[in-house]
Amino acid sequence: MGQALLEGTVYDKNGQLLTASFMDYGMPRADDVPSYQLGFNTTAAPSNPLGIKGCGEAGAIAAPPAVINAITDAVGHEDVSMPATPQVVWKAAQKAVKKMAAE
Amino acid sequence: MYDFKYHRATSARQAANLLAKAEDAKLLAGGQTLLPTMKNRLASPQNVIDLGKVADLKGIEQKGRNIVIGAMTTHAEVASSQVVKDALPGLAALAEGIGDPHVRHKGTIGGSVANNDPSADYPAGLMALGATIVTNKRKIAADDFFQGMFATALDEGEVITKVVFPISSKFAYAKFPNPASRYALVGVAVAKKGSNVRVAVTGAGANGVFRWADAEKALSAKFNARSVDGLKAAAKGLNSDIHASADYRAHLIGVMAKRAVAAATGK
Repeated sequence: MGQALLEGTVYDKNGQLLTASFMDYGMPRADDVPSYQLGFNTTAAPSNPLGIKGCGEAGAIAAPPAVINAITDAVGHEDVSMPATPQVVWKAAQKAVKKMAAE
Repeated sequence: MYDFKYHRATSARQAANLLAKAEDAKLLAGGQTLLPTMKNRLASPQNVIDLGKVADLKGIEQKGRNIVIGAMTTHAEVASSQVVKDALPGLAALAEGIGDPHVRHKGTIGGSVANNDPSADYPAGLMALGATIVTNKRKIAADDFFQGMFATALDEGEVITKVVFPISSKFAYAKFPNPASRYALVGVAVAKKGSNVRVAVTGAGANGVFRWADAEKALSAKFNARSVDGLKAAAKGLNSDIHASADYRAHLIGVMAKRAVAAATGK
């Protein structure tokens, strides 16, 4: 969720990190997360006797595409960069309006 | 944090005297800006004068057609005050939306106003309501008080004692928070008193809080959220940074003005 909507590192042209504190880096809070349902699909890894896989980042694989796909579906084009902050969505929505007007 | 000398004032007059005499002195109100800045070594005053024990700078009362709020009154006290809720519910809501619970229980109206952060909420509220800032020396109208980023009309050795808010029949503040800091990316306050409408914008201007004349004109004709439709704030002179472009801020001014009017009219 954070990667999709909030978290982005920004550097200036001299290589100075501009998003070095939580005043500038959008760390998700509890109220940024919608309610959602979890689904599990167990597929054991065939390469070891216990069927174990790595974890950690695995949890981050599904959420960003789910969120971004919802936005690209809504605006009708795929020019939506992450993090899709309100400003990014606003620009994407304007492009969608122009596209509709041209058609 | 660098070393400094700590002074505990017991009256506004004593604080003003200390401020005038002590070298490189800063007043400490709620400390929600000054202390983090000192910790980061972005500020290093030699003398810090704490107003925390000055009892007569605290409190909220209604005096005739005005709400008078002492400079050392915290945001949480304004937010929960029955006097403010009855007379200016939009002002209680504004205070309730500042920062987080910690900031609201430590931060004060006087500190916020004196700091004049370009993204702070109170400056828009004061300007829209036509408030008067009272100091140990004089009274200053909000229109004259806020003079750009972190700049105010306060002189050296001047201490804010209270803020006087004329009671408007309709008032509300709407802000779009920065997703990271939750400061106002854009905040708009609207007030209607008689036929006089004032619209003040914070967070957006490169020179701090300002009034939006076009919206004031449109809303004076008809105080309705639809009156703001089609009005576009000029992007020129607005902030453009990693969080929002000037164009986006200009767009948000219209949206927030509409939401504020809708809230003020109860729609």
